[in-house]
Amino acid sequence: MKKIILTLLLCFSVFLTGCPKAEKSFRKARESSAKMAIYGEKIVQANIDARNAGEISQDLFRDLTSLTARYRDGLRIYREALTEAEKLAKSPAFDQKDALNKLSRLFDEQVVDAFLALTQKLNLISGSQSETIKTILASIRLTILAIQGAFSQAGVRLSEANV
Amino acid sequence: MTEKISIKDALALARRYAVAIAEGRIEAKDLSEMSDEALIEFDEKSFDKFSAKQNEAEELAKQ
Repeated sequence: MKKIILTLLLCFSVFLTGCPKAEKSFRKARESSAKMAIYGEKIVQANIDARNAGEISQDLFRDLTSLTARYRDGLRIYREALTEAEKLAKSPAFDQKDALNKLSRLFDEQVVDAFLALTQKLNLISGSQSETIKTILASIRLTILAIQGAFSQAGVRLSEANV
Repeated sequence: MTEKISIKDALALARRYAVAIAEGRIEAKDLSEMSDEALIEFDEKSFDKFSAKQNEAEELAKQ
């Protein structure tokens, strides 16, 4: 994971320039980070509440907690890379598109994949058996797509992650 | 790690996740109106809260 951050920093250091467009894009990335942290806390609380109410088994709770740990770790990596990118963007020359492409890819690989692993736990039952579950999963995916859309508006090529 | 989840468990979680996401959306709706400095501070606090909650879950998972 540290190699990913080092690679990002090396790429950022080639050309650096500060410009308002870069700052706006990094702001959107920062808003994404805050949203995913909020959702993370809420999901973990939901797991705890379900476990304490006896709605899920301790084994399932352990599985979910392991998944949310992965999600937290991925979000931490993304935030570290974003903080470094924000610092470097203030320097004289900056390859904005390349930096944002890398942030977008990091977001997909570290954060989105981990978040989807959580929702896919619910998808293990037959899809035809519960419209409620499908609707809820769809709303979660829409949230993720909205965040990825923020990167897209900044002119970033999205990864081919299947959301 | 368990591979399957019962319908009952899935429905229980799905309902709670729907509420969690809705509450999250409400908390996140004012982000665009914050100053840059306030947003960074809010982001850090949000992650700290998430991390603390995850630690709580991990302690419960050990029981």
